[in-house]
Amino acid sequence: MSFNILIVDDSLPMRSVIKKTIMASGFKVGKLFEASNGREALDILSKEWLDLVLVDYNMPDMNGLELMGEMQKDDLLRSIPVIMTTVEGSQKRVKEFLESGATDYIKKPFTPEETREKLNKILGGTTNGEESPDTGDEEFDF
Amino acid sequence: MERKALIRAMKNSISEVLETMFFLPVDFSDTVNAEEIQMSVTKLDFSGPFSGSFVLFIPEEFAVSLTANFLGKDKEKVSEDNVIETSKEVINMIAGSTFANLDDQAVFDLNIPENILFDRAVHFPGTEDDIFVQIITLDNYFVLKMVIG
Repeated sequence: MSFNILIVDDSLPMRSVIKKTIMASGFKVGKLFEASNGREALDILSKEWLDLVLVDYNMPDMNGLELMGEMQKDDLLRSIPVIMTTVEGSQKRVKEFLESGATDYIKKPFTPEETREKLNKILGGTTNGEESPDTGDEEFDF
Repeated sequence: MERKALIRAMKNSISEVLETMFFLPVDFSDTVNAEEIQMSVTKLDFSGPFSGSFVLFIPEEFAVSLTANFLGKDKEKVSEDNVIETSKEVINMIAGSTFANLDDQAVFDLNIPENILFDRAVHFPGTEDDIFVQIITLDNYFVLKMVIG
């Protein structure tokens, strides 16, 4: 099974690093989409089926919390797991993310191992840091 | 807020960000290099229990190396936009980690970082109240300033 993943971050370098981390994690990725703010993300979410959304909190136009608020209003979008990727370390803010619908969060800076662990937890991949078998049939959409 | 605690939190967060995301061991100096060289200067305003801004000064050549390292690209293929965006991400992560190191119960709002200068020689303007931390790497340095108020 391959997973469609959306990365929402206003920083192009950060999207690139997250993308590389996901690819190096060994998950079978179907399509990998990118958006630079919440509005672009909603547009993609209205057209494509996603298995996971990674959302930055601090973005111009529509931030991560506002995007999750919009997703919560929609019966289909509400069921998609969301991982908040954020520089925020405040426990109050983390609680706010989780209460607003985030499944989990990744604090920046992050290690590839931490990211893989979170993805494993949500996508049900392999454990103990083992990589999923790479059959070479991934389809990337950059 | 105690100045020593702030400096300690800034240093811890700088080490955390540079070592985790850039695999770059760092050291610190108490004196700030006064030479005038071309710099990328990025600013991030914050508000919360106290307000102010962080300003990151990175020598242009080092900023290009740092960006190439972050993106896994050759230096020659790194664009000015890549450098600016990477500098913004660095200051964003350092600011977030500084506040988490300082007090993980406090909520600070971080503005979107802005690049205020790219390739001009600069001094490190500031007052006695500003906090300067000079970060030393194997072959270069950069400076983080925190202004409160």
